[in-house]
Amino acid sequence: MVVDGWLDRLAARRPHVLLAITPGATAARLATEDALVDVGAVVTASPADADVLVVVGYPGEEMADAIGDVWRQLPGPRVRTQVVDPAAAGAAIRAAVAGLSGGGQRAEALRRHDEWRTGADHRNDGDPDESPGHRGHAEHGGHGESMPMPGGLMMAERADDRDGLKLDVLEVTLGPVLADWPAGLVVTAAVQGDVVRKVDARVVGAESTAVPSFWDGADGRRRAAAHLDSLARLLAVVGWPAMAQRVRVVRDAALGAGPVSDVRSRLAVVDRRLRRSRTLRWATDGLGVLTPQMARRLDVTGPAARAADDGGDVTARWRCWLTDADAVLAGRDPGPAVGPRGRGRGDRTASAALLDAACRLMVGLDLAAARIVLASFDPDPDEIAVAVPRRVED
Amino acid sequence: MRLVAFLALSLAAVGAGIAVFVVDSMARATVALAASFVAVGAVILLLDAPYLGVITILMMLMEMAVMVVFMIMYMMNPAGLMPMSMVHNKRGARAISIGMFGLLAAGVVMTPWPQRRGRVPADPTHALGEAIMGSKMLVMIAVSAVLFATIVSALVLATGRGRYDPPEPAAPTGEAGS
Amino acid sequence: MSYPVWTVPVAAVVLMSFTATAAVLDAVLDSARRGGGWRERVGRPVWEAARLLRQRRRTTVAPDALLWRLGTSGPLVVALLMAVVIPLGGRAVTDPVVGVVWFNAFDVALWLLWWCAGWGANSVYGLVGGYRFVAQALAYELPLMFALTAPAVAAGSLRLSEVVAAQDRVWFVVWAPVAFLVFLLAVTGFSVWGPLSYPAGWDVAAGVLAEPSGVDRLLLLTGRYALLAAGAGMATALFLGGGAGPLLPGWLWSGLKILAVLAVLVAMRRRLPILRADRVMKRAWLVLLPLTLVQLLVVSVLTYGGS
Repeated sequence: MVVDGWLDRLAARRPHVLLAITPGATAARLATEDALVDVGAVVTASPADADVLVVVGYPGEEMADAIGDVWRQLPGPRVRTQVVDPAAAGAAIRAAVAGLSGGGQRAEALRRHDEWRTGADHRNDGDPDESPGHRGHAEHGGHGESMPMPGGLMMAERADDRDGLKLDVLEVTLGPVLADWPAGLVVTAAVQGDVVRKVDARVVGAESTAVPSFWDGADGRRRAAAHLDSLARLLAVVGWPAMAQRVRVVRDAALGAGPVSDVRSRLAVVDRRLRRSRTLRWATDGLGVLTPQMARRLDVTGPAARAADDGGDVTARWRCWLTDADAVLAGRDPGPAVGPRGRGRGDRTASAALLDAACRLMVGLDLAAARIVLASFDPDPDEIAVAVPRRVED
Repeated sequence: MRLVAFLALSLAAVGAGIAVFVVDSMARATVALAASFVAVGAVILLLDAPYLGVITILMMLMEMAVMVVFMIMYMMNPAGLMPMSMVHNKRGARAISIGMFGLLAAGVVMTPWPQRRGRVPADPTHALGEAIMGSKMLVMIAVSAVLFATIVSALVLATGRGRYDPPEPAAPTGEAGS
Repeated sequence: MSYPVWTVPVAAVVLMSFTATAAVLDAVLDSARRGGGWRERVGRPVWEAARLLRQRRRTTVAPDALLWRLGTSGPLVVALLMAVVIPLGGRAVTDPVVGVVWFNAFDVALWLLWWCAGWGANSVYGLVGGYRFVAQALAYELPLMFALTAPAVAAGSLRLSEVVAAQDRVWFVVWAPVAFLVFLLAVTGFSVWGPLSYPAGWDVAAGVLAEPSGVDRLLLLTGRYALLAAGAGMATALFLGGGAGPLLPGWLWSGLKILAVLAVLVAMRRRLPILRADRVMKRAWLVLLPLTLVQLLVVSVLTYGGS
């Protein structure tokens, strides 16, 4: 028991945290990220590696189900907490980390009856959410010829491949709980081998969708921070965590109260590093090209539309974020916009158009490339979730 | 000592070989086959032919790893662990394999094995190279480079478009129908 | 020259200390967001290990447990097997006539092992990660083989002690800088590290690392650092003259060089984004491979041209 207590203390110095972020909870997310740094915690990508599950915001029913699935996959010792009020994030995280040690964990472990322990429990078919890391089994609306597999999983079906072969199709559900992923977004991708053949996307709503997006408004610093937030997510998905971290630091500086000149000089350093990186360009050049015609047809506005005139690939989009972030910090307005992602046209919000464009461009790409394309548009689910009230305003 | 090692390794090789047909998943069959080959490679090491032994292990492991790429093409369920039989055409396969085994075993028994002459050289790898290649060494080295370059350039020419390049709109007929 | 059999555990301890050093280096190089000097990060590997020892070993629904365990424990075993031929100060546990091929054979074994680590979990992300490793291996393995051939050709031997001895005047890194760089890149490749950690990509929830937990994860992560350490040891023997150096004893020179290479390998993680197979495959086959072949030609001409 002495050894246990000793291990507990050591382990608690670096808890791994999985974030389940609901749409409309951006302020709470930023506060949570900040609080995690204070306790020395690190954000992780998969439930198997997580000690703490933090639900950010109020999840709606469907999202809550998905979070329940993810929760059951945490190996334990595990703690679950919720952050709704940004001001309460620090206390919630500290309490969660404290809860990781102690006798309660042992008692909880004895009570658990998880699917992965019993083995052959059957999952409900038609269960729309797939938690990250869990086999996305094919759903079989109307095909009916599939046979059940061990563990109640379903067999994949075949379809024509682009190379003239007949390959199995696997339905992979990405989100809603996934690291560096738009909050509450669920993308169902039909994958053949390594190539994405079909994409369906929707936003799993939060409990309340009446709040306007955190990033909207006339404040230039906040708009710059929005671009940097997107950029950090893109860099994390590209696989450059150290750089993503640096961009997040600049983002936090932009949201903070320090002098603008300081933020701009920090941004300039990051800007130079990124534009000079040849390997980053290998990862993003020529990927997900949005032509100006396509941008107009899909009502894409904001930085993504401006990037379309400059090549329109992922590289052009992240460069445009950098340029725009610096411009708004300097007090210039790079283009007419309601929010950082553009104005939207008619009854479509800017992010709805971005999501549409991203889904079209993801088809035919490798899974990694598809994720990078989506991250390079970075639709803000907060905007999509409030689509209905916004239509009234317009 | 050598005899014990030889017996253990040959039993392992044969056992893993049988496992290939007994297990019910392609992945396990692949790994069992790899294990069998590794045991055979280790037997070759016992013959004081270290280069041949290690290179056998290397090549066979690599081949089995390449097999997993083919696996995803032939699997009924690419991501699945669906139990499936590893045996097809049982009667024919049995006849062929028993015949083959008989042939090889007869070869082993009937070959007049030479007695060892001389001693193990200090560098068996070098001696092996001399024995196989002899005076043709330089030619073979040059030819192997040419062969390798041919393979690479043939691949480059054969795949005008990579797996991830967008389909060329100009020549849609290039795609073979299913 | 070899040490007796009882030195095998000693070699394991030496490898594990380099492994721990790699983990500490990684923690120290991590860019902290605020406060927290290196002092606060240096103990991180201990905390992480404690965490994983405490964590329950979670499985998934219907995994292939046998292959999964093989895959999660395999990398560490391979690193240990590589370590027995790596000379430290001119002597290794064993010095087979085909030391270079020995190393090569075990790095090929990693193809199957990493794939099993991804496959066994019966999870989409793990599976994608496992296949990514095979794709990536197809890109780095042939350049690696030619990079390994360069010092062997220059020394005229596959025995590591002779390769080291042949560098008494000029280190092979001088004649074969391309082979050296390709070798380092390939080490990050089979260790699933930094720019070649594509099989454990963040975009697929850490791929091969998505599902293992508890002790399994500890073994796999330790194996990853151990592979980096073994790779650094091999790079020192093949290209940096092993234990050669003035004043200090040979084993100390070997250790210092290994540490330097290890530091470079660990630091690479923060300098570069991931090189995805779908983007770099072409470059690997059309640029890297011919480059290593030319390098081999240069080394051959330099070695045998005079004679």
